Amino acid sequence: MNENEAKEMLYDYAKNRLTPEQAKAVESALASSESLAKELARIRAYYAALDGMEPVRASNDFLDKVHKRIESRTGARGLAGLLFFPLRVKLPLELLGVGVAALVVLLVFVPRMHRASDADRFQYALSETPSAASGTLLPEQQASPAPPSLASTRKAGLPSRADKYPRKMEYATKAKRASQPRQGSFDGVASATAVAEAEAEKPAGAVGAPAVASGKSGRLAFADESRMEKKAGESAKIARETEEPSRVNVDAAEAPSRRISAEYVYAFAQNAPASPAEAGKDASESVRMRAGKKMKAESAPLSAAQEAAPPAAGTAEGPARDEFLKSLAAKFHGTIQIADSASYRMYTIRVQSAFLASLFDELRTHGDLRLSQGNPPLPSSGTATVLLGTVRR
Amino acid sequence: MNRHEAAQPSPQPASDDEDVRLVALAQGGDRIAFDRLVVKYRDRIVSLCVRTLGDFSGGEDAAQETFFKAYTNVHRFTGDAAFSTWLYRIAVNTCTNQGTSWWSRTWRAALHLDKEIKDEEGGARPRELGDTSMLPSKELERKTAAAALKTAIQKLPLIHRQLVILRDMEGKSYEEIRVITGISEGTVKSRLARARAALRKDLQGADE
Repeated sequence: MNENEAKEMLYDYAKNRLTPEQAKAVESALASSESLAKELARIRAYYAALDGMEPVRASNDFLDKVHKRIESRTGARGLAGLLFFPLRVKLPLELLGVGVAALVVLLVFVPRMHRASDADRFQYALSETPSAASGTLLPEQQASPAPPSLASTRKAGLPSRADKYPRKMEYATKAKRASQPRQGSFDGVASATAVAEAEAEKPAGAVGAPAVASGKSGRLAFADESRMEKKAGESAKIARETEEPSRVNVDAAEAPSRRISAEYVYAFAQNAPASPAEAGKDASESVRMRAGKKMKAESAPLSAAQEAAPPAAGTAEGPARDEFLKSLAAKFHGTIQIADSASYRMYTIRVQSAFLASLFDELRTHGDLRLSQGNPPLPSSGTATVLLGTVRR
Repeated sequence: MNRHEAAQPSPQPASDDEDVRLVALAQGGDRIAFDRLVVKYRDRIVSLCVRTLGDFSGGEDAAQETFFKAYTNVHRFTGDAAFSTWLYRIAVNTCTNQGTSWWSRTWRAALHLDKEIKDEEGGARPRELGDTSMLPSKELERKTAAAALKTAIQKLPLIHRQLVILRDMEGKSYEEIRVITGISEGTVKSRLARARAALRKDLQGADE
C-alpha cells in the first residue's frame, strides 16, 4: 500500500471502520511515514471536534407539532394546505401564475376582442337601415312583409340589448330617428339638427360616430368577405334545419353606427355568379338593398356554379380591385372614395343618378351585385352614392 | 475490487423488526405506531436538519415537514431499504429544498447565528460559544474547536455539508449515503474528499 492509498483510508482507520487486514496495512504505512502520522493526528482532532459539538435534540413538543401539521394539512384544511402551503413557496408561484395568465389575456384575447368589436362596428354600419319599428316600407314591401328575422326569433323571450344597455340604445334610436327619410325621397342628407343631437347624447361607451346614415342607406349583410362567407355558411345551415329562409339580420337599432350616406349598397363577394341567370337566381336570396326603406338581408349558400366560378374582376383582391373600381368611376364620370380604418377599407362611388342603372349592370357583369328582388326604382336626377362594400385591410 | 468496499459494513438490513412492524401498522392507519416511529427517529432527523440548515428553528421545521411527508407517503414505503434510510432521504430532500430556496438564503444571510463576532481584543470567535470564562482549559479548547468546525461546515456547499454530516457525524456507510442522496458512490467519495479538504483548509486558516 502506497502513501496516498493509506492516506485515503485514514478517516476510516480513525473510526475503526477497516477490516483487520486493511488496518494492519495502514499501520505499517503509518510506521514508515511521519506525514501520515501527522495526518492521522489531524483527522483524530477533526473527529474529536465533531464529537465535541453539542448534540441537537428535538424540542419537547416536537410530536405535538408534527400532529398539528398533519391535522392542518389533511382533510378540508388539507386542500388549502395543498394549494397554499408552504406559503413562501406556493404563494409567489401562484402570484406568478396569475400574472402570466393576465399577461396572456392582455396580449392575446384583448386584441382579438378589439378586432371583433371593430368588425362589428362595420357590420352595424353597413346594416344602417331604418328598423322595422321606425322604418317605412314601400307599398310592395308592405304587401308582402318580410318573415320575422331569425335573430329576433332567437331572441324571443330573452332580454334584449335595449334592456341591457338602455343608454346606448336610446342614443342609437335617436340617431336612427334623425336619419329617417321622407318616404320615396332619395335625397340622403341627414338632418343636421338630429345629427348634432345624437352627437351630444352619445354615451361614453358608444362606438363609432353617430348614426347619421341617410335615409337612402341600404343594408349589407356582411361587413367583410371572410365574415360574409362564414355567416352565409352558418345561415344556410340554420335555414336547412329550420326550413325557413335564412337571414342574417343585424338590427340597426341594436348599436350605434358609423356615418354612412350611401344610397345603394353593393357587396363584394368572394365568388361572383357565373352567369346573369345565376345572378338573377341568386338575387332572390341574397343581400337585398333598398335606399331609405325597410331592408331585408338574406344570404344563401353559394351554388356549385358560384363556387366553381373564378372571382370576377370586382371581387379581385387589393390593387386589382382598386383598379377595377377606379376604371368604373372613370367610365361613369364618378368619384371613388376609399375610407380606411385600422382594420377595414370602405369603398363608395358617387355618380350621376342617370348612370346608376348602367353602373349596376356593370357591377352585375363584372362583379357580384346583389340587389333586392327586381330592380329598385332609381332616381332620375341628381347624384347618388353607392356603398360598394367594406373589406378587411 | 475497490479497496473501500471491503471496509464498508454490509448494507443495513431492509429494516429492523420493530421498524417493519411499526411501519406496517402505520400503513394500516395506526397513528400510535407512527408516533412511535417519530419518537424513535426525531432526534436524529432534527439533528441532521439543524446541522444541514444551520439554524434550529429552520431545522426543526424541516424535520417536522419530513415526518409529515413520511406520514402522508408511508403507504409508498416498500421496504427495499431501511425505514431510517428512507426517512433520511426525505429529510435530505426537504433540507435541500429549504436550503436552496430564496427565502432560506435571505433569512440565513440576515440572521446567521454562526457568524463570527469580534471580541474586545479584536479576535474573532463564534457567536454561539457563549460565556467560556468558567470552562476548564481542555474543555474550552474542545468547545472552541467544535464551534470553529461547525462554522467551517456551514461554509460548505449544501451537498458537501450533507455528505460530511451523513458520513462523519452520522456514520452512514457509502451505500446508505448513495441511497439517501441519490448520488453514485464514486461521486459521494470524491465530493466527501473535497469537503474534508475544504474543512481542513478553513480550520488551518483559522488556526493561523
